[in-house]
Amino acid sequence: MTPLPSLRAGWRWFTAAWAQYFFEPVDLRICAMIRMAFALLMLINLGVLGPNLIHWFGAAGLLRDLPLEEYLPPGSWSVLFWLPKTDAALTIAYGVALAQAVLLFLGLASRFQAFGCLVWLVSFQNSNPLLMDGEDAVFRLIAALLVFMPCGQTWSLDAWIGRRFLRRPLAPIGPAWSLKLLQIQMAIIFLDAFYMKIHGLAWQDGVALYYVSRLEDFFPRFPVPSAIFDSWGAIRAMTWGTLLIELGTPLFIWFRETRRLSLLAAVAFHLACDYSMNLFLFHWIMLVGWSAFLRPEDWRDLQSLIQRNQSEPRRSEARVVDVAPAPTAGEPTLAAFGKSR
Amino acid sequence: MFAPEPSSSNQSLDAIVTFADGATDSWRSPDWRQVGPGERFLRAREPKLYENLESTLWSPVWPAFAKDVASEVRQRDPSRPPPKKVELYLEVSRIDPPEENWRSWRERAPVSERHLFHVEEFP
Repeated sequence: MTPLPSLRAGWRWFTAAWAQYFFEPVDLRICAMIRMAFALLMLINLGVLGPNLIHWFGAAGLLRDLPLEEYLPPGSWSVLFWLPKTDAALTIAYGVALAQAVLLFLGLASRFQAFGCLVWLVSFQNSNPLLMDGEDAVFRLIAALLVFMPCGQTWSLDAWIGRRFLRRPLAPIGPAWSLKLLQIQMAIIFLDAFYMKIHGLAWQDGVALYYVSRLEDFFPRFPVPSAIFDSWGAIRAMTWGTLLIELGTPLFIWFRETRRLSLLAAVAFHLACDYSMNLFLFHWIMLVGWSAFLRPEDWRDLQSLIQRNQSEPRRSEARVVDVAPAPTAGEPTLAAFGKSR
Repeated sequence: MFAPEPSSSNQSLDAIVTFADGATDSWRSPDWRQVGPGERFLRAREPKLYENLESTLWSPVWPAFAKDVASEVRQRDPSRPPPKKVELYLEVSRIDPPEENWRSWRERAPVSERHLFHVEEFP
């Protein structure tokens, strides 16, 4: 028996699965939701830069004596480098960035506005790298993927104009390979975070959260119970729990039976971190990224769960949530994963 | 984030500004635990800026930063003579390993080091 037929079959399976994953029709409301949430965060992000705009980015500002080109990777660019070095030009550029974020939220020429947001993000980040953090990389990644995402097909002025004036309604369902790339990207971010942490002794020993909770720049944001952050057991549980979530979520989010549980774990993790630590918009932009894994039936089931709870509180206790909905075509299941091994 | 090892120290910047008449005044980077969550959110970019300024990698920014500190301090009392000198210091509070010296998260670690890292003199 030669291995050739099985190789061919394997290749056929791979190409079919590839096409199925990247090009199956999806509900484009998910893309629209990502567009709107991203635009809101972009507005907050820009808004926080506003009061110090001239000081942080101006030609006579904090970086006036810094040869920026020596500090940036080769080929780095910024629209601000090409504009006249005046406060007026900087203010106009900032105004255009804000306007593009508003238009992205409203969904007018959505993908063009996403491209504009990407250009402004890169421009401001390269014009003052001292201010920038890991979250800025996530902002850039999502902006770049939105450029290729059919994010204006619904819940947008694009859709309204198409329906009302052009008599060319936009399809609310269609392929969105960029959304699938965002899913992969989110999984990679968490796996990378896990890989980096697992090499650290403090993470291995279960004491990393001891140090994190003593960093005064970050912790605490809102009141936290002392008992948790002053207890060996809780510190260890939170440290190793972080590793578990950063490893488990990107592995189990792909399977029908565990997708919702993985998503819930990621959401709880980000909200808990955002409550207890000052990390600006990092956890919110991550939640925008994770929402690429949502499916329309999640909304439907959540709505029916809320309605059930409101109308029949006793019966709802018996069946809290349908954690594993019926599979859609091509969606992997753990059983299939087991068989393939 | 916080990988492979979380930081094991808290750092802050402070400055001593000497004016032409020999008087001095001081400046400190914010004590973030004393800043409310709303203001802390609006000033979210500042901690990263101060963290980067502590690094010698960004030493070309120190003269401009020192001048900005001097003008901020002078604004408190514009009748003062112009500043002559600014000394920038870095304060480090080490977080000891918990097995050696467990400290509650509410308890502030004492300053373990204070370095003068830049002096800017004005003509």
